[in-house]
Amino acid sequence: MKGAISYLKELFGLYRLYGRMDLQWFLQDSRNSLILLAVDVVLGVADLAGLMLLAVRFQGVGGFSAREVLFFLAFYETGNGFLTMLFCNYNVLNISRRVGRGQLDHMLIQPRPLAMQLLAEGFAPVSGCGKLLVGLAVLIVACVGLHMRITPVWVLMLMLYVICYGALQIGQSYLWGSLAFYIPAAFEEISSVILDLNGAVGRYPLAGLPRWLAAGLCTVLPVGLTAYLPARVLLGKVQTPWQIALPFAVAAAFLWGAGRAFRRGMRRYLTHSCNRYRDMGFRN
Amino acid sequence: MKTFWATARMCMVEKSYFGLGNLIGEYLLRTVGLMVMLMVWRSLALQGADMQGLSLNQLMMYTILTTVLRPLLDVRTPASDWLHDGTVLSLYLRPAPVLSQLAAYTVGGWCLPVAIMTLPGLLTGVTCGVDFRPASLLFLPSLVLSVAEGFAVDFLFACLLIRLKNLSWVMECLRTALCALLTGAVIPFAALPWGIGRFLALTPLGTLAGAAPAIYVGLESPGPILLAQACWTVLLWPLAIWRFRRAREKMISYGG
Repeated sequence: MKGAISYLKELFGLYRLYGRMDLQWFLQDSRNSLILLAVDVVLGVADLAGLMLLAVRFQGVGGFSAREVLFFLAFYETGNGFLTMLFCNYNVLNISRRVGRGQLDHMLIQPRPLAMQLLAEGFAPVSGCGKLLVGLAVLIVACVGLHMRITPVWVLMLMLYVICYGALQIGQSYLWGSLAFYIPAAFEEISSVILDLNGAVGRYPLAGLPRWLAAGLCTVLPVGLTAYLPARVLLGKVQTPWQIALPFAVAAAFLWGAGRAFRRGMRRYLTHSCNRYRDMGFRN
Repeated sequence: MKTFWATARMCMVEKSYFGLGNLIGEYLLRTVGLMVMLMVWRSLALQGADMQGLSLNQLMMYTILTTVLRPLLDVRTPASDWLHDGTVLSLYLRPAPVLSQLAAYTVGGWCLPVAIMTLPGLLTGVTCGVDFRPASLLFLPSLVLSVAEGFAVDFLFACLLIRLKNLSWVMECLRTALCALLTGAVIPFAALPWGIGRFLALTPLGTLAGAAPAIYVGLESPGPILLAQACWTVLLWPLAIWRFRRAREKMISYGG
């Protein structure tokens, strides 16, 4: 218990440190920081705009009305923003890059546990908050538009599903990213591909799919569980307990699998390493 | 032209250096993206939405074409990356114009993606019962103009990157987001509400990705689109050359 408390204390100390560094960057390089924030906002809006415009034109898409589509997209953007804010820096989320480039060496010489570094390093509360702000703003607009009854339980479910969104993405990224321990150059970008895949598919409702494909997108490649199913639950369209619990169960399974695969890869890394840098600094 | 094609050939071979694992991810991503968009169109048809003159065949074929021909419709030279990592300096040491080398490298890079995506695109289309016959052969000159205009737009983005002192990742994200929405690369302009598609279809970005596929499937009439593409190409190329010449003195690279 004492160990856990000191671990958390150290972790939150790191969060404070990275938060302060992020704020200092914002204050010292305000021009570029503001450009970055503005781009994040544009990106957030662009992420939502495509499907939203279709929903407006055709009075709904994939079993959602236009307003429900807005809620679905806002939830997606909130989850995405939350994940970006916590893990966007230093390729913590795109872990295959760090593994495949041999950059874990930089972490192994730090006097902190690797897991703690991975949990804290990506934290960017100032430069990484653009998408989250867009998501929350649109979420409020969507809730007002739908005249939703907001209860404490509903808010709790929303927060849990947002965390679940992050867990699903991290689980997939680290599970597949562990391949970079074995074939570094070829799989350097595998985490980015998986995350992009989630981004590309997760933004669309899965209604109208053949059953086998919908099942695949809710288990093997669980993009349907990141935003689509949670949005349906939060909109009150799904009420069966197993469907409500499915995202959490699959997220837990992915995190467990990712942990195992990563630890196994680390054992290989500790004996083989990954030397891709030349003396002059370029990477092979 | 010999140097141009030699560079293009070099780039074509280089694309496969990192093996199948490196290649497959991108194509998997694009194939899944294609399937998702096809499903969206199918679900719209199933829900009985008023398609207002758009047929399911047109929408599906449009999506397949934009996916297969994406490297040509959204021209990305390595200028931005090379500005960032310093490779651009080596272009100035070679006995060929810099823009020509960038173009050659880009053209060489098209072969593998287009070849690999053609088969899944065709198979998906055949499975969905898509009729691939073109509505107008004028899509061919439109494609050529799209490519020409795409190069000019890409060089202008590179100039902007130089001006912003290498915010390359930010620019890449911004460009991807804007291009997905404003070039018609994902959603045809004809499917957008409030008639905004009519306006977007004639803008510099709007005449890039969506123009040739829209003419191919018969979503837009070729005349105005071709005219707009020709005008933008004539306007943007001198602007790109002028801006690139002016910007080269301000290039900053990190290297490594």
